[in-house]
Amino acid sequence: MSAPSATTYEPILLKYQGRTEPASLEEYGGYRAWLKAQEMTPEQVVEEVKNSNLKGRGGAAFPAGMKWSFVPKVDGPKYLTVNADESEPGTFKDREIMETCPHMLIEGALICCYAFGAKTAFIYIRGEYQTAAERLEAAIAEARSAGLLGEYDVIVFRGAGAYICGEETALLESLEGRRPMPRSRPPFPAVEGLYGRPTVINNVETLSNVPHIINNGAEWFKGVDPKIFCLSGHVNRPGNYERPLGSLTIRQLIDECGQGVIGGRPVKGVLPAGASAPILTADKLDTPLDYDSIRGAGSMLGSASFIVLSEAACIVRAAARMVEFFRKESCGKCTPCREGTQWLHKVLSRLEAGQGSEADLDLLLSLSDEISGKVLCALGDFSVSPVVATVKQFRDEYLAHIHEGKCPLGSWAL
Amino acid sequence: MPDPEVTVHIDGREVQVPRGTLVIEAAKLAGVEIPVFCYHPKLKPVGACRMCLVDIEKMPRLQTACTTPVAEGMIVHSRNDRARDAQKSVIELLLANHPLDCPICDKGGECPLQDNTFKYGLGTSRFYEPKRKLAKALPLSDRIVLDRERCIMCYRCVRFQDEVAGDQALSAIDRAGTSQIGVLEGETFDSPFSGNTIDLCPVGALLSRQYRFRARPWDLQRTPSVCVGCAVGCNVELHARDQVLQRMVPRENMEVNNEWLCDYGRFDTLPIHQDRVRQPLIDGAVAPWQEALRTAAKMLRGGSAEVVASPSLTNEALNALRAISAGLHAPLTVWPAKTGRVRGSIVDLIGSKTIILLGFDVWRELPVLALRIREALKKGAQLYWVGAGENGLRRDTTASYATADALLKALDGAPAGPVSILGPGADDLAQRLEAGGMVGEPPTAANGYAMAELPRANFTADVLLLAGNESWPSRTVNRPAVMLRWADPQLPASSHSQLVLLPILHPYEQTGTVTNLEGRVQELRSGGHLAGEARADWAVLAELGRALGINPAPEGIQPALA
Repeated sequence: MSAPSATTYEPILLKYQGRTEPASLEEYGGYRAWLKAQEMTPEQVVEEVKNSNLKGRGGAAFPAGMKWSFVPKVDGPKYLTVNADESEPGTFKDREIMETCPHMLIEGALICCYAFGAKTAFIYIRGEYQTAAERLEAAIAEARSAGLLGEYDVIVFRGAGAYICGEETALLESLEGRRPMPRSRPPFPAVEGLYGRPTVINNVETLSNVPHIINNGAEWFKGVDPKIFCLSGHVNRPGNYERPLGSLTIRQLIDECGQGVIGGRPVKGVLPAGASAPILTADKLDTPLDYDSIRGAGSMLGSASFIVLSEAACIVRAAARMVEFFRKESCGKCTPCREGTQWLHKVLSRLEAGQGSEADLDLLLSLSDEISGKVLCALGDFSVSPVVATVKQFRDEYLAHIHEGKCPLGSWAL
Repeated sequence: MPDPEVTVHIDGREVQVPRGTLVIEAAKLAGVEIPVFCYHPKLKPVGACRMCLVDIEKMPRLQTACTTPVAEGMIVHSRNDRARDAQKSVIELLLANHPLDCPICDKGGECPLQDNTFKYGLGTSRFYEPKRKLAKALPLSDRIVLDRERCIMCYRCVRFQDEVAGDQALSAIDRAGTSQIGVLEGETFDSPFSGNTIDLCPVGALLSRQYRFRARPWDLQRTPSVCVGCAVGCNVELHARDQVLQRMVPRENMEVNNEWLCDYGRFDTLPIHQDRVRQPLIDGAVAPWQEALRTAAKMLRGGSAEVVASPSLTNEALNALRAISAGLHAPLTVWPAKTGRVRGSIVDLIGSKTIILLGFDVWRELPVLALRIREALKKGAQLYWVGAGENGLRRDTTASYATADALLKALDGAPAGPVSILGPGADDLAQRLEAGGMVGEPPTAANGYAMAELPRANFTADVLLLAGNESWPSRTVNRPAVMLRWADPQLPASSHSQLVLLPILHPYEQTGTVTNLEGRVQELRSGGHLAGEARADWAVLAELGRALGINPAPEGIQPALA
């Protein structure tokens, strides 16, 4: 398969995209970056990654090198935890990296360990990623028998399938064998993380960039800044598309990568970060795909999981589904998220069935305000995005449900 | 070195507190009340309920006062518009699915959810959806029921069982809106400390099956007293309705029981299920006091006598028995032998670095003392078990040894001090080690310390004075006896050739003092009234002494601290 894209960009992270077998150690080319990093001082490695301006690819876009430099220089164990609990709706980039090129992640993890003084890396992978977990384990074994791991250890830990485990402190709780509920901060994981020890938590895609930074240098990286965009929803060709950050617009992603909207319908809206970030309306389609531009358009690039909704989609139904997701995936620890998402979902379900009132729209916004900024972790804050953004930007569609007593799209609604 | 003090401002009040103090605790010192549900001073903070959200200057988000440590110059607002809005929001969200069945809820009237709603809530609700419905009064054990509709998921109960009891008897189950408190499938809530979760629960979710529907809190008369379940002497409050005892809750005393009570003490020592003796009986027939006392005196003068004390009698009763024993030239003995003495206090025990249990199962015998030992362990002490038998603190035990010699060898003869040693042979082992903590074989009966020097009863005299509510051994049957009891012994009429039964009050209905295992004299107070003619143990014995022509020193009979 060849993507009919105008660009001639050669994928770096998804070099082996579309294959059914992962790249072997030999095909991957050995751990050149890992060997090179060990000839540098840890401080030099951190400095190189800092200079590359690599931002965390899990969603928060926090500079990776900065995160590593926050780890206190203390004796005793420190840990790297790789967040492979890829659970945001519409996000499937880490899966493809791990399934096609597990060595890239392992090498990145080893370099990161070296940089801040950890000896053990845990890869926390969601339980549903059976193939990815097996391929990672096989690749770790391969690297170990090639003598590449040395005194380092990389351990694959399978989660049991909970969205909240993508929240880094809930992930740590789960890894420690407890119920995954986010911890209060401070203390921050960099100081007191896994088993109370200094811990770095990085996303799969973030760490997969690290070998390339070490091999080719920070300056090279700044010129490329590869990013995987997950494209799904009402497009003809959903999938992962790797491009340099900022090198294309949302429209280009949909038209050139995704081969346009199903049935040639107009776009109604685009969710740039799964269910977690506010929906962008069709007038924002020419926004370039980089962190600042998407923020400027009123949303977040987050994990860059673009879900496209065509004019055939019912916005109220979409909002209700997204809130249902958060309602079910709330860990239940803190009151606003546990109780608020249930309430939001009940109101949205009524509106979807045409049994709402205009007062319900004010209630939705007011409830969203009771949740946002008052919860323990980011999941709770995210849970109101589908509500606030759709009520504000698609108020007419809500009012149509209220006044017609049913979905105006009728049975055509997707 | 103590942490340096920092200055913080809370709602305009300035207060100096050590660095690292939580905002909620600093507020308390400043005299500012911040509402809470999940926060409890005896448990680690979790920041779950969000009730204590406060507005801290220079912080963009509202912060939970229960998890945020103070910093120099911090300015906290707990009553500005932002904080008030957040408090209203949390109350509204907590009440959305709450059944609001306060009129039939035991907690009504002493419920933090009610109180916080009244003080910080909206007063109205915008929730018109159907509420979550779940089966009411789910039995978790013989002692406790759970109402999951009322639960607000503060995790206080789960945290208590994990952090304080250490048995992790409760857990949170499922997630999101279906989260609930519970036990593993097929199990029950079996912990000797389960009752404390009823006190900790800030709503009417965890309730006592014994007390359920028995009273409204505002109708209760509350009397401070002391638990007589064992020799720890936990400080309690007795709650009676119309003079009838209904329940018992712990009172904080950091030198004795912290804020805890064991289930045996809380539920099983209350005289609410037993048949009572309400009038004097001579050979099963009701008799006036004077006649019963005369008959008893005549019996006791009629041959060789033995005066047997229960180790749960008050100190004042013991003094009267001493006088009677001397006047009759009869031996004063004790039964059962739940007596003993320790050197050192509970505070010394908590300050120990090494605690050695010589086959003495504190968890079973003196439950709350086991919780105090766990406090020492949390501060870094090591716990060792010597001998065979069951050790309820096994989860917390560093190592177990068959003999003391094996332990000393393993410790290289020099355990970290101060050392506490409990159990038979404690004094011998203490001579080989530098002890300095709590040492001895502890008494297990409520007043076993005071009776430590009394010999064990042998029940061989012609006539027995059996003072106290014990199940006397079968060899006392068929022997002339004078008994002082509060529970009806339910003896067949022919059980004793001659039997005078003198009714006494239960320890929770009378005044007097008992001495706990560390020698602390504590005061019992009458928390309820029993219809009938029963009197305090010491008062009955004083009358009996008078009938015998023995006049015990009055100061020995009056309650020492009454």
